[in-house]
Amino acid sequence: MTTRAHTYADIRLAKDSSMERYLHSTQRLNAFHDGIMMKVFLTALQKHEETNGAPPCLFTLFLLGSAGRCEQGTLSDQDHGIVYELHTDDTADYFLTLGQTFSDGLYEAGYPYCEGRVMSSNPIWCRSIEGWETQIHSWIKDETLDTIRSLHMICDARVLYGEKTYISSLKKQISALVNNNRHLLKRFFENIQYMKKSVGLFGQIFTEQNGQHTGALNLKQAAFFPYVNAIRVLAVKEGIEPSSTLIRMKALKQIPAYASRINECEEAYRMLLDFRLRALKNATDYGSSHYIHIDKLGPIRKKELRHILKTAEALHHYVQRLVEKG
Amino acid sequence: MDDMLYLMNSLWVMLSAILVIFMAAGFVMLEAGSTRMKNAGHIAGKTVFTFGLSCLVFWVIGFAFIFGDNANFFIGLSNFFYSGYELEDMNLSSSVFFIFQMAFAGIAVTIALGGFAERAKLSVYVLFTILFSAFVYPVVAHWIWGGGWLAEHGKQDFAGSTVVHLTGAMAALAATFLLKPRIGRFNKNGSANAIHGHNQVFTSLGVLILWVGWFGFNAGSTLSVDGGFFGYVALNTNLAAGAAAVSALIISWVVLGKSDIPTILNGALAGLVAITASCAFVDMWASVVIGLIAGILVFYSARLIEKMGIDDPIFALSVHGIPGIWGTLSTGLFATPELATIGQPGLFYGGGFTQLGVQAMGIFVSGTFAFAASFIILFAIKKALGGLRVSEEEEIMGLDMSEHGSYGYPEVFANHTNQAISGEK
Repeated sequence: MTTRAHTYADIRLAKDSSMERYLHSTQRLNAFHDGIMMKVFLTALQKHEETNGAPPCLFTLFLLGSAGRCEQGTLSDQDHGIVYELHTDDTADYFLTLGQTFSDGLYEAGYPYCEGRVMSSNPIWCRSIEGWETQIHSWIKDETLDTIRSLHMICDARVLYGEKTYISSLKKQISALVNNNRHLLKRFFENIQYMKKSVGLFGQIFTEQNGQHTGALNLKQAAFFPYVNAIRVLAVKEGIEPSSTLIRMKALKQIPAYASRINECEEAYRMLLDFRLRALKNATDYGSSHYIHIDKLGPIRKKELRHILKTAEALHHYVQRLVEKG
Repeated sequence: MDDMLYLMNSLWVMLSAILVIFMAAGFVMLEAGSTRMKNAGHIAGKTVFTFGLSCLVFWVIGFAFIFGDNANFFIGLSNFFYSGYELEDMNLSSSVFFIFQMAFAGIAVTIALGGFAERAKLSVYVLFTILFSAFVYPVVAHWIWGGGWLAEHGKQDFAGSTVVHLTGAMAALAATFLLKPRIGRFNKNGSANAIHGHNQVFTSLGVLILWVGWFGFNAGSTLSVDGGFFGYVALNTNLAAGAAAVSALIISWVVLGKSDIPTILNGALAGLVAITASCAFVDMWASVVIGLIAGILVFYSARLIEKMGIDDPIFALSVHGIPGIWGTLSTGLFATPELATIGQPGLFYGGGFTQLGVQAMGIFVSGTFAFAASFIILFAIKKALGGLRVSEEEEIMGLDMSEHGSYGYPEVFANHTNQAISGEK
């Protein structure tokens, strides 16, 4: 126990001391996070094997959310799950305990627990292949806001460790089901339909009115979410499996009907990534890293931001029309 | 016929007095809804109590200071302890006139106390109510309504944009300066946190009660049924309130991206405050314009006041202060020659800047006096009581418990207390 805590603490120290070197590029930063999480997982696996033996079958550890999309900032909470091959109670216990060990390890390494409990320590996110297939079917059948939200999450899954094909087949399953049913695709979009309006009639940018971040724009809510969500819907519609928004855009551009629209969006989205990196560099803490102070931007940067936000809104409406047409 | 008119006037003004007194119910709902649950019983109860106290002060000296004879520059000096006799030159029952004026004094102090919310000691409410009702409100009311020097200049303030609302708001401003913001209202970097009121339904009902009460406030200020002019005044009042609610909704929607309920409610009140001075002097289209502008002013002034680091929990300054100033100025712009029975027509009706100047002077002098006098009174109270605020612990606990020993919402808080006692979580 002492050794493990010591090891995780070491990983955390190494992480905190070298993170700054990777802040200049979203890609590098995410490769760095992947490395850290992999270290944590291998440590957790080793500890787990010492008491519970080797894994009883093939399995996959996957990341979800911003980590799944390779879009993490300096710090985000953990979102992950496990798929394993054998559908037995013993295997279920084995991987659930492994999930718990990994999740605790991540926490000790500086990744807060997920408030929504999207973690492989939760039986909902730690299942056999068969279990996952049944779960996805039932989520689709229920089609409530919550279950569709879970499907959205699976679409952003990315393998960190283990067998690659499991996640791909789950995504194929979702894509096929959603595409065979126009109503379902609509439900899929409706889940992300709420978009906080961030640019007004006169081009004014709506900022926080109260609190520590008064006068600032929440970049994550106002800009990232609309892009990520709309592109995810298109990706599912077109059966594109990768979870990174940029890679999804690249794949979508190959489809002539989308080419010009996505080109425009990609340019704006890259601009947004750049905005975020600058914000990260200036941020004093994690909480403020999502916020951009509008008044501190020069006229050109402000114009860029307006362009980013307006393009996001246009993309959102474009996808909405597309989904409604079927 | 004269007897008939006397009775009709008395009846109408009595009805209006009841409406104005009922505005206190509006303030109970408005203030309680706009503040937190832990202070709800205190806020509601003290509004009833201070209204009652101010009525007594008005009976003892307030009326005498405003309307009494043998006046000096500040106050009149007769009719103390009024006993129901008929006053000269009145075409209605003097007792009715007295109670109508008494209600106005009560409303002025209620507005002032809005600036004290959620942090002042109960004893401060008691002392300030007495001193404000004795020495602040009567002076301004005497100047403008009691035949004082501003009345001689032809200052137009039909029902009290300056006398009641600005005076109350300036006292509230003095209080916010001396009381300082509530715990948690501002961050170290100067940014403000919203301390949301606990019940927007209460606040909305409060606004609507005030809106209805305002027909007594404004239309009742005709003091007469002659020619049915009160209907015209009431209609102007209603139009301004409606216009201001609409413009407040639009401006908050445009600027914030979402229409803000407190802004809409404050907008309606701001329209009412603004039209109070001018409701008998302007055309109906002008009352719409006055209302529209008031609705926009209330939105921006609330933001400005917050930016200045002033904690105005129930918007006394942005609802009664700034719109009070605007309403008083508006008659200097829009008063028509036919309706300007006091003073001159406004700037837009060929009256030049004369009336506008008188209005501005009235605002400046009355506002400055109300602020300075209230500041001195509060400063003296602060010295006498060793502070105006409850302790930090009491503020966090809530004034229901700290000042009165029982909660306005016992089921909500009593559970916590019981659990704390029994050691449960």
